Amino acid sequence: MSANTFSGNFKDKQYKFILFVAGDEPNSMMARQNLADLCEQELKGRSQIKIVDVMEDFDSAEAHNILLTPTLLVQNSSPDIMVIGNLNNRKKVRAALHLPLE
Amino acid sequence: MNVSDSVPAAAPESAKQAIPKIPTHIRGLDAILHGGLPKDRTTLFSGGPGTGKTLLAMEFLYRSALAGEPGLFISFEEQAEDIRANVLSIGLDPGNLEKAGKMKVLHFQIPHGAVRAGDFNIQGLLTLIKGNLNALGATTIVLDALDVLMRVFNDPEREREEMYILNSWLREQSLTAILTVKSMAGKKPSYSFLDFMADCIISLDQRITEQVRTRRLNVVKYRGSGFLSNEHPYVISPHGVVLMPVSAVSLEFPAGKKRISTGNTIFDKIIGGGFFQGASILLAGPSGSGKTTLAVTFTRAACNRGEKTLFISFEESREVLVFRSKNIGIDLQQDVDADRLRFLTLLPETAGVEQHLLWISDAIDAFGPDHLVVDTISACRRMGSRSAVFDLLLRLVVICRQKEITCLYTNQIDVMPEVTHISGLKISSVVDTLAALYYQDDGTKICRRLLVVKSRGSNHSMKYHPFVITGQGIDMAFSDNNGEQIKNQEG
Repeated sequence: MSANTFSGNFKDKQYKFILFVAGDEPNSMMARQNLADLCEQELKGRSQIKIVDVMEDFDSAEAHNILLTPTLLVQNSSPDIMVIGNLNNRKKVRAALHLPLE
Repeated sequence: MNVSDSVPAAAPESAKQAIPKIPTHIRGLDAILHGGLPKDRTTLFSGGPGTGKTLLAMEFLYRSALAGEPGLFISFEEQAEDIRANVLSIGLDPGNLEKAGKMKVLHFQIPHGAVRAGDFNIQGLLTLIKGNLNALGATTIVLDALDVLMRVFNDPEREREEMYILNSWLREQSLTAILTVKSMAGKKPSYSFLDFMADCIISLDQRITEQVRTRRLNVVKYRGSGFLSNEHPYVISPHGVVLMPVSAVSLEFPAGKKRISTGNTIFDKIIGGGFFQGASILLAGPSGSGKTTLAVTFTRAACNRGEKTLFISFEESREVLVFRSKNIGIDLQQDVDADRLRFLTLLPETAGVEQHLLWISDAIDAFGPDHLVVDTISACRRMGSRSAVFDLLLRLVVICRQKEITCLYTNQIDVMPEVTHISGLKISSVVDTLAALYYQDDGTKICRRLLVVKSRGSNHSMKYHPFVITGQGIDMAFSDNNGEQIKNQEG
């Protein structure tokens, strides 16, 4: 586990997401929906999502070494957090983002 | 090892050209593959750790790039700098080709801290491959240690699906692809389903027998093509991977070659006129029977004619051989000084058959001799396997035949009736001439005799011929059909 610490009130934390997708294949569509849901439900007003389609944007895919899709890159702290998959497993996603236990 | 096993899987001339191939330019491999690897198709290199899959794949890409076909090398296991450093050991310098835009070496891996949260696929990889290939203008790719990437799925079913997608995509894009995967010796390969996807499968194996490492390459399958079906020993040399395959074609007897002297005029008569240039001769007999003496007699005579001889010794150093020869009136020093005679002294325990074969082959290429002497081939049993003697002899016979080099082998055997066999295998069909030397010490004198067991294409004597070794060399007797005796005047 990388040492991702932050100071200050959790409720103020901003999340910067880049979601790498592969066109409109099923896993990528699910990831888009899941991420949108999570942001709407738990990070309202505190998140910024950028969608990158690797099939259109090779340079971005290469810059971030994206081998698997969909991949969610969380760019809050150093190093980036990488979450691979369609994000159906909400528990794992929350844990990766260090969101407090429900 | 049976000579008939070397006959290639039946492939008429027309079928051999049926599928387009890319030559590998790896020494010996294109002969085994009947031309090269399948173009626009997928080949699998499978083998355990240390077998050289990565080196072999890199050498293919490298030599292709040199030949004008740029390529992409992606490793899922090693860093690019490490790969570049490793292949320097086999004489390849990809850095230069990369600078010239002919090649690219990349390392891809999933970051260590990445979390899995749901299903995913390899589309990102395909995008990266495509983009890099486009930038290079290449259609040749190596995916090294693909099994390391596939572990991320943690599910054999998903792995299989994604591999299928990868293979289809490679095919669709008309890419010549080499995938390397690990397999454990003796166990069923973990990617056995790949067998159905790949058009060509090459399996690499290494084992240690009696403390000597031997490497074997085996073409498991090659769709649409013939290939040499044996296990082929290979060496990872400082100049690349080297294979020296045997094929049935190379064992044809060279007809109509000129006769050369055995070094002894009586022996010439006994054998029906001398040896044929380019033939293979085996002298078998117990220790002390005069094999080496006959070998140096032949050598001296050849050098005297201005011909070059390469003398391979597994037992004695050049100094000892020259000294012992001098004692029987044969001056080899003059031939050494004139560089008509070179010695190569090898210690069998140091390496396996294929490495020795490579050293000898390189020495032959460097010197360009007319004749090769090997004293004594039986020492090869110390190379790590009982079949090593037969193995080395057969391959040397092939090499020399192709170059029309006369080769004379001595074989030390202690049980005389077995002259026709080596390592339990019938040697007499492989060599052109086979002579046995007999040695009897009855307490008052030593009786030496020579018998020509066979000599292809020659009307040779079928009798035992007594001889002695004097201070002026070999003194042999020959009785012709009229009972008239001729003896060597001067050895």
